[in-house]
Amino acid sequence: MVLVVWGAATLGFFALRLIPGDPVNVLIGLGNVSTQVRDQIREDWGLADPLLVQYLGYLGRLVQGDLGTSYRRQQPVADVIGQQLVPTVQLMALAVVFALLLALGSALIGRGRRTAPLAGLLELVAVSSPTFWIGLVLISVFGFGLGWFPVVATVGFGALLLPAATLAIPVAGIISQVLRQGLDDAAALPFVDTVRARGASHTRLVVRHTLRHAAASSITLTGYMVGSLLGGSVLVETVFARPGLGRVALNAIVDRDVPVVLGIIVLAAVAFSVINLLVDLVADRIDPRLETKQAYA
Amino acid sequence: MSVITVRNLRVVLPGSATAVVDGVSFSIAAGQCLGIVGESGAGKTVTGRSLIGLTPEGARVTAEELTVAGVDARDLTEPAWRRLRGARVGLVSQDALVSLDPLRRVGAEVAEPLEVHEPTLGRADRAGRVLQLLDQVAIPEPAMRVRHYPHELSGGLRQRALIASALAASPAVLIADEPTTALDVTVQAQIVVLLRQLKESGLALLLISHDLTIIRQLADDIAVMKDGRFVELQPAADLFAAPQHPYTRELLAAASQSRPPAPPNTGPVVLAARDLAKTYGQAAAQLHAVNGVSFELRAGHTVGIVGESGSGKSTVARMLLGTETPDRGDVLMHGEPWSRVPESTRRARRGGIQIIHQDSLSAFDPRATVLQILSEAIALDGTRLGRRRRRERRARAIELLELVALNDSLLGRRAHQLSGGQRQRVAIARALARQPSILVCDEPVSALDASIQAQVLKLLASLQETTGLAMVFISHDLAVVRALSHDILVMKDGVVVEQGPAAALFLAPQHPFTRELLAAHATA
Repeated sequence: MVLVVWGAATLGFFALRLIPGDPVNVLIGLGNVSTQVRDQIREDWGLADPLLVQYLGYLGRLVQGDLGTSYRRQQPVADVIGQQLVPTVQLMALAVVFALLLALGSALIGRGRRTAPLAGLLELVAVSSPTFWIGLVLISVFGFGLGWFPVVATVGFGALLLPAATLAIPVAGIISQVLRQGLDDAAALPFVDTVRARGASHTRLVVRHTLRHAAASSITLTGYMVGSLLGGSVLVETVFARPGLGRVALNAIVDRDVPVVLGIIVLAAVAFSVINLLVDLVADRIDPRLETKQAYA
Repeated sequence: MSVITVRNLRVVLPGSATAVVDGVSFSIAAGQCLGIVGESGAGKTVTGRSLIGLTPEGARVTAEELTVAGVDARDLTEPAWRRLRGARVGLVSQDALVSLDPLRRVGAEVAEPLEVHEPTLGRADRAGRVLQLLDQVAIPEPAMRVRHYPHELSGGLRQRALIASALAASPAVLIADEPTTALDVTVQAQIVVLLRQLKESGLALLLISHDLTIIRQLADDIAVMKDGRFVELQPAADLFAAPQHPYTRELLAAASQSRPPAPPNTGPVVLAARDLAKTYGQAAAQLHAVNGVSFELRAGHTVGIVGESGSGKSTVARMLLGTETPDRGDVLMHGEPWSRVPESTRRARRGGIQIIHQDSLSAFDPRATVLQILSEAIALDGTRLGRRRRRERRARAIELLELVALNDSLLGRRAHQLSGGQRQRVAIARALARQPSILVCDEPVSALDASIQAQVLKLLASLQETTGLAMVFISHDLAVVRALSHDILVMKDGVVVEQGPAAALFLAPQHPFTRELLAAHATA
């Protein structure tokens, strides 16, 4: 996990140095200053040092939890991110819940002879629709059309619903596809005959047996999708004009605010690692065979 | 008093004009066992499943009479079947590793019929019943075992747990569909004893197997099934004493096949294993997969390696092939070092030693046709055709197919379109394409029906006769090892417990384990 974060920080650091242009311009903004002042700024921010020294310095501060200072806002990156973290986490958490509920519902209902093609079609639409388009449709139907939800409000639970749904729908489509596939695969396993031979009903078979197999096969993907929600939040926050990390990231990239971009990269790496760790733990709980397999590896 | 009465049962699968079960009639009384024997595809399983309402979806089941534990089971609705399943009829199928839900603990699996059929039973009572059931099927330390997952149990214990779960709601009939097929011989014998006890306690048993030796040990009556019909239904003793139908006689002959091995000669030693050893894992959990295996293999001879699963047979095979490097010891091929040289030097000589696997379906590229499978091996064979043209490769492929008694109509098929026997023949043909002097056969016939087994063994024997091929023949089944081998190694826990000429070993086995194997085989 430390390795992943270090790799992300390193790659991010050097990749961002490749961007042409002088960071001093970002620091100064639009003002016009003399070369002397420029050099002074360069000195103050440690930009005059050789790249390697800058890199090691950055890593050293990172280990201590210091993400550096934003060029543009002149405040610590940790604060910039921290202020915007809560709305984004709220958004992502609700989106995860939505995605799982939608996927579960469509996977369980969409397995009959008549419902399966319908569920397949809905999934396809959900997966292939661009996020901003879903967002706009939801806004015009539920926001303007039906007036159920506020369109531009940024506080309160109601304001969270539409963006979360927007974020959740494509993810739900993918998870539902995998879950349905998993259920079908599990239904073809030999033990299903044994379960049915015990007199178990179809509902019991699915709830007690095959759903667990399906979950075991889709949990890894679910973890990956949850991680990718961070990326999705950029679009959703823009469409719904919400505050949040996604917009901070977008603005930082546009402004070439390197420390902020780096900070978000590191945060994403940490988030991904934690999610993967959780997924592995959950997967072990779901499928006890994994534990022994690892023991032999 | 019959627990099961079936008259003129017919089952037609969807999309098929012919019946898979065609006019079958039988009855089973309490405490009696009917054995149905026949090859796969004969309709045995479908017959069994129609007694529990689990025929494939869309199948049409008709019968003049179909009485299961006092219930007329013709045209039962699904909920009515559910009340019957588990409570009146239990099902035990092949290989509990896949027949028990691998993600649930053994205790939960055994308890499920109780939850379904006796929902009023309290949690504690249910747990007590589960322990009682595990005890009944002789699972040691049931209190510990209920917390285990199926994969943590040995094959024998798993099968016992599966039987316990089928018995949980006290059915009057047990359908045992190939209950011992996936097990080692000695474990098979134990399961047979358990089933016999259950039968004697009053259970009506329908035993389905391709293995006549298992059927013989349990069945009071035996039905021989072929192409959906009972060609013969007789009391067991009569059937063995005086088989009426030619197919029955064929099956009996296949079951007792053991050709005396050809007299040994003094050909050159083509493969020698010296004190092979291999361990897996780290210091604490070290597993001696193989420890101190030595033998010599001469041209035209067969060395048989017999042992239970996990005894190290396949590890030996991999070391002989040079895909695994021994920790200790050496393999010499044609007197030259083989296992200790780098792969780059080995590669040129790889064609000389070829392997045939148990599961050739997964040993073939599923997308490749037979022609492509063979062509790849032919193209690698530098000695004859090299990388020459397509037409010549095709001709050679046909030649190889003829060698294994197949014809060129199969060239365009893919692996999954072949029958088990055809697939194994193609695997042999592919191995022969490199014109090897040594063939390693790792359980080559274990997945095949008895009469197909006999055909493939015959083919291997005749190939050896005509080409002077040396073979290492690995199997858990003493009968098939016996059919081909001149020398036999008996392995247990990675060690050779007995080694010697086949005839002597069968006549006077020295090691207790060999005697156990032979006994398990003889009662069979």
